[in-house]
Amino acid sequence: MKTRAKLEVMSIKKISLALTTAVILALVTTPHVNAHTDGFWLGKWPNTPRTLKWNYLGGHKYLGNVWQGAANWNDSISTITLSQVTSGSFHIEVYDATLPNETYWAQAWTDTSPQAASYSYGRIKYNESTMDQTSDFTRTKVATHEFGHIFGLSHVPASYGNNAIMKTGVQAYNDVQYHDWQDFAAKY
Amino acid sequence: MKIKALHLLTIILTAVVACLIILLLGVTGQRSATVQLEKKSDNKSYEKTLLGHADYPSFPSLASLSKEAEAIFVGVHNGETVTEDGKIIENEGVKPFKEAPKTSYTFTVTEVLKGSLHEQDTVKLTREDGIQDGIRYILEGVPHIEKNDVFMIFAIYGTDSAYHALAGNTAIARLENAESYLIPEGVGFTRSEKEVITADDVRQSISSE
Repeated sequence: MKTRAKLEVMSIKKISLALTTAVILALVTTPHVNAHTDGFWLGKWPNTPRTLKWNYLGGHKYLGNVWQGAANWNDSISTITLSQVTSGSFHIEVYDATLPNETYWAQAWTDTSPQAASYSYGRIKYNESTMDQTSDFTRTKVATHEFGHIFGLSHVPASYGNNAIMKTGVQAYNDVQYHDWQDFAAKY
Repeated sequence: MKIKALHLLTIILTAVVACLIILLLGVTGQRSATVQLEKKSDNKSYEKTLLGHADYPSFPSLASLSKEAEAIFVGVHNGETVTEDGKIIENEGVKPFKEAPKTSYTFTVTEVLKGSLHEQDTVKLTREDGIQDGIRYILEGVPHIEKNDVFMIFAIYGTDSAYHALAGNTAIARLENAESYLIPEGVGFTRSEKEVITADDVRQSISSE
């Protein structure tokens, strides 16, 4: 009887130890899921290429801002480089549109979906109707923000206490912030 | 010695199996959340979903949002939607592509808080989303609209005779219960601002301008 009780205690100990180990293992091995994805798995760029070429086609009205936006990321990260090209193949297409009825400055689209987590292209559209109404400083903020989306970063809520370029709207800064770097580093 | 090794092996095996079960449950949970989101959409079929992101002027408070809006109204979506194919972009030297489609959602106005609309008016709220060529396009932070959903809408009136929600289409607050509307996170309210608002809150914010 005593032996049976001893065995039961040992089994409980074993199960507890195994479950604790399992939870720790599961936590360590679960893939990073961005906290602001609305249930979607945002994708990322594969290991190659790590130089992403962007081409600003058409009128390239905000070229200076877009160039600075790319430079802001290049100054902050080392695993991926954004490089401007004007011919040949590229990964990111940048263009302008006049959309007087739209309330956004810019949109970014990538070829991700719940079914495809590896990006092969990105597109950034600037809305001249709203971009023209904002300051040059904010245009660079928008350009930096959009490249963040191209990397697979989503929005950071305005209610979040620290700075982040991935917050929407006008901010007092227009370059990559520590929180953005952290989100990027968690992905790449 | 052998018994100890056997015990250790049992613990390791149990841990690995339990870990696999936990991971599997976690992954399945995430997938089912996505699938559920997809099922909620229109009856049109689609093979995959693309998620777009925008940057836009956001609003730290209800007062600033109300001030910017040309129209603020409460409406119920009557289920009528019209989706137009996206514009074809033909930049020189590269393969043309189709942008996200535009979808108009028809609403019956039930309460007017700002602007020239009247109760029972039928209005269209247009935005860049919808299904096109087997792909569903949605925008980050923009609430999904279903038939009979009630929203408080903060919008501008477009040259296309449709309304367009402010803050990159996020400024539509869903009716949560009786009289309370939930302001989407994407609108940009600060921590000190209420996320759940009422029509009275809006009236007060307009009168304090």
